[in-house]
Amino acid sequence: MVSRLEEIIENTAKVFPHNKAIEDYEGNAIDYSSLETNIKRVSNNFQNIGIKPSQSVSFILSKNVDSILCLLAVLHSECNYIPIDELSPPKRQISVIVESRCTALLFRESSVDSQLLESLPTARVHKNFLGDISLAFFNWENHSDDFASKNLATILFTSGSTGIPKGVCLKHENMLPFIRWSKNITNLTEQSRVISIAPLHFDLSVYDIFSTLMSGGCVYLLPAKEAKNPMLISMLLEKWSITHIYTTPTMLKLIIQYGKVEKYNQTHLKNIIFAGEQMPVETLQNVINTWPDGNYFNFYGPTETNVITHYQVDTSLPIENPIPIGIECPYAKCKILIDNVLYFVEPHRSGELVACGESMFDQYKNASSEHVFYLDETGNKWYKTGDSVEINGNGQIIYKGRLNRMVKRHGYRVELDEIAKAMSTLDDVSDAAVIFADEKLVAFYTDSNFNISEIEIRKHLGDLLPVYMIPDKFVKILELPKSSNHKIDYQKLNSLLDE
Amino acid sequence: MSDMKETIRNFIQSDIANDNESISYDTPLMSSGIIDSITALQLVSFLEDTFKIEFQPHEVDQENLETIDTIAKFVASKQSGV
Repeated sequence: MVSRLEEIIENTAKVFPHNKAIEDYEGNAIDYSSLETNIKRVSNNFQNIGIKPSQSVSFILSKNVDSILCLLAVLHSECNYIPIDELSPPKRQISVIVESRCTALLFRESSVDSQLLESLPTARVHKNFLGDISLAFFNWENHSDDFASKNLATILFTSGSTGIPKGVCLKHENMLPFIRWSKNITNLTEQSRVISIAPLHFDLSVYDIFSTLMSGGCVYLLPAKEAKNPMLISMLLEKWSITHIYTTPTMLKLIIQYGKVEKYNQTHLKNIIFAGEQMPVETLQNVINTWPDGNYFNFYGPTETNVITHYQVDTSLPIENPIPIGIECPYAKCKILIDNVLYFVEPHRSGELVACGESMFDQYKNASSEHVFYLDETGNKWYKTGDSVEINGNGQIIYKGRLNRMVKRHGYRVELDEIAKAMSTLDDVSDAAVIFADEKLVAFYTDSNFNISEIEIRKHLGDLLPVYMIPDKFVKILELPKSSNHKIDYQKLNSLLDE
Repeated sequence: MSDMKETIRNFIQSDIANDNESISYDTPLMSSGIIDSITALQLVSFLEDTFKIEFQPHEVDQENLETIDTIAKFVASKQSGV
């Protein structure tokens, strides 16, 4: 039995050596046999230039065959990978690199900011380490790595309410249960062709890459820019005869709305999996009409646990409203936390969803994880999802909303306070608060001198935050409403919008 | 050409940008976040319907949609069949 991610490829290469494993947007492709050989070669090269087991290697790489080869070779070297959003501003990329204290960075000179390496304690750079991919080593002062472990597979950074992204540490043993289970339940086989839309820093990519490679099928990679173009994705569903897609409800909706689907033959697409946000009933109906006779899965789970619940749509019945997030995955245990007491998942309970199990993380790289766990009387750690849920009459879990100030946008986690903190770094903005209303991010701010324009604020935020965190609407006000204990009154802000 | 630019500007001003900032022909739209990947598609639909052209999937791109100037240039080149 496979106990590490890199062993997945060794196993599949024995059974399906000549199956195509990966194809990318540029048209490069590689089969399992050459993939295995190349992983060993690149892994040797890593060791020859000084990469040692247990180290962290970060990535700012658009997805193509060489990038995935590097990722798999990092794992083969018993190191962990830290994927960084290539489209996020350089300041945020630097923040993730600094927080992670990674040993090295893999990047393409053409797609990183020229100042990036100068802003970091770069020790040396190996240009064109693999094709156009270069490798930079860092020299961190006073850095003792308590986290160093061969068992760590990846650190995924997500939005943090303190204004600094926090790194979720996931071990091989956390990721493998989901990979095995999702391969089986979504019918992945050596005939499958999976389109990889999610970038590597988004945990949906774990399915695209690893579940597919475990099945002997082929994963088709889309670079970040192309992955935002639903019209292009629609065309590629035909071109690549895609059988499986795992993406957000928003993306499925956009493909149907703008993808000119009637122009393309997309009849191979039979397994449609969505996650990252609540699926609207209307969108699901359109999905079923557009790609009929398929299997439709709703997956749910925060980055800290990966997928922990699932729901398969029964198309012989009317669509349930709201669409449940379903029942727990076999490797996960779910309970409901109500007034600090744990309850079983039973019909008509409602409270905060908590979970534990093999897929759950232990710690953040750069933040305390104490407050995110609930300790039961036997000492078991339960991850508090921060999601409010309700159990319906059939025992299915229904997502109700967030308990705190984190929202989901295009499938990404967004801490509203991180946006507000970024706005406050502007000299003219003395106070800022962000709310999420009608699916829109609305920023309120005070501008004491009345001399900053919305375009200037947008530009400033664009330097600090990824696009999906930029507010849709800016409202200038004289003073932010505060409650008696000087906390921002978010309900009042909400009501201001209706006026 | 200036009629076309004015038509495009009116659409962006009324249907996409929700502020009172004036958008000029060379205001960066995509890199500034005024247009995101979703509103870009609304814009493309509008351009296709209004100017009777068709975008190829790879043409929905910052290069073509970055400013009203570049949009108008792209639409004109499509119309002339270049």
